[in-house]
Amino acid sequence: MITDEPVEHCYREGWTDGLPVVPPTPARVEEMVAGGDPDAVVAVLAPTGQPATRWTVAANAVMAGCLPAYLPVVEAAVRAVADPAFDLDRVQTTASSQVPMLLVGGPVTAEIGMDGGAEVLGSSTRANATIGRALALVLRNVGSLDGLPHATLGHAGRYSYCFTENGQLSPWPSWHVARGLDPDTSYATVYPAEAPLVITDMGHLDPRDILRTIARCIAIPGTYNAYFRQDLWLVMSPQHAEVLNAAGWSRDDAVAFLYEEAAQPLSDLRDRGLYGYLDDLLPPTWIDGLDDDDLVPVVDGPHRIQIAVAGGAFGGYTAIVFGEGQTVSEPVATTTGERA
Amino acid sequence: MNLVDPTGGRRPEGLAAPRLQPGHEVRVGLVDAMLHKRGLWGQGLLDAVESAMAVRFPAADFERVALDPITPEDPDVWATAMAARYHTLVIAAGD
Repeated sequence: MITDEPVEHCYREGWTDGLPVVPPTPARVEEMVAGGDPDAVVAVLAPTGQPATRWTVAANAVMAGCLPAYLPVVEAAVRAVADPAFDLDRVQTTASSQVPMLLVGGPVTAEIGMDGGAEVLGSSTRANATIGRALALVLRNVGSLDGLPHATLGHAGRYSYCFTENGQLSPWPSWHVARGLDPDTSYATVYPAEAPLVITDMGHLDPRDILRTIARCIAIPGTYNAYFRQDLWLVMSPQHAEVLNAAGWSRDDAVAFLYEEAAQPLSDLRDRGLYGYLDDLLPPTWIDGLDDDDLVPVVDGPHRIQIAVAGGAFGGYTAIVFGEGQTVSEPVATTTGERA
Repeated sequence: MNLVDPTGGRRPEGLAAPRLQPGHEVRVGLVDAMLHKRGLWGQGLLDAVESAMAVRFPAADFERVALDPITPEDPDVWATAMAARYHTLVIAAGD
């Protein structure tokens, strides 16, 4: 038997992302939400203004295939996207292809079986895949006016876009620790992200060579970063990070170098991408007084460049993740309200 | 089917606006909320709407409204202000 009536019911109701879901029976949702107040509001989501209760988030987590131990992470992610700094209203309605990219860091990742190794941005563990999917389903079912697609093109991250760093192979502290967050607390960090653009640079042992390759691929005119100049994420393979580390480069050194190198002449930007299009509404004051040969950095400061180290042991790859907006982190709470 | 509704079951129901009648003296707001103002596509769309509505509702009074789609203004405050000023609002939105 190919079809299953409860699954088909979910399709008919428009509750799915196109893939089959685990039917959210009351028993399954009760098991998911056990230990807390099911009516507690996790967050109010834009643009609907609908409250996402623990019960509703749990129903979506069941559908995504989550285990109950994942729910605190899903809830933290829901709170993170609801933070005004994330601008969920825009992310949920824009025609661009941005969706929340979710980085989970801290002790909870090992406890629930998240993996930051091979295929980290692709098909990974149950925890990676279903936590990201649960967030996407919450946004679809609670935070969307009609559940219908709005992005002109979209990308596969709409199904699930969740990962953790490779703590075993990264030569640097975790991203959230480097950011000054508590190393003993777990965090869900979200960023409005396009699809990853994977860059390769193999065989070079000078960090400048690798970073210049990456910088050249960052400094292109047709991205949202090129106009809005906000956060930009890199998911760097352990091998790239180790080459940098072996030469004595820290994450901050890499960021500073990339900020200087990831710039393009004004002549390459003028009337390309969003330049010459949004100028009336959001004047690009940062190019006032510049000549055509002057270099324009892709972001408005080094603090915008975020580097996570993740992926398999072998391979000189770094994924550039363009986007439009800010990164937001929320602590993961246990079901008793304590920080995990 | 005994399944938990993952939407929370509280999606707002759309309310049908009262239909305009040809003889009504109504004020119609025509809003250009297109991203690309200089393209004038929004104004072109609104020109067509105004022309069509003027034939059907000869007593209607039309007024153009500018709205930046990227604005810090609270959309609910804006909507309330528009509702107080116009009987009908036509919005050209998009790229």
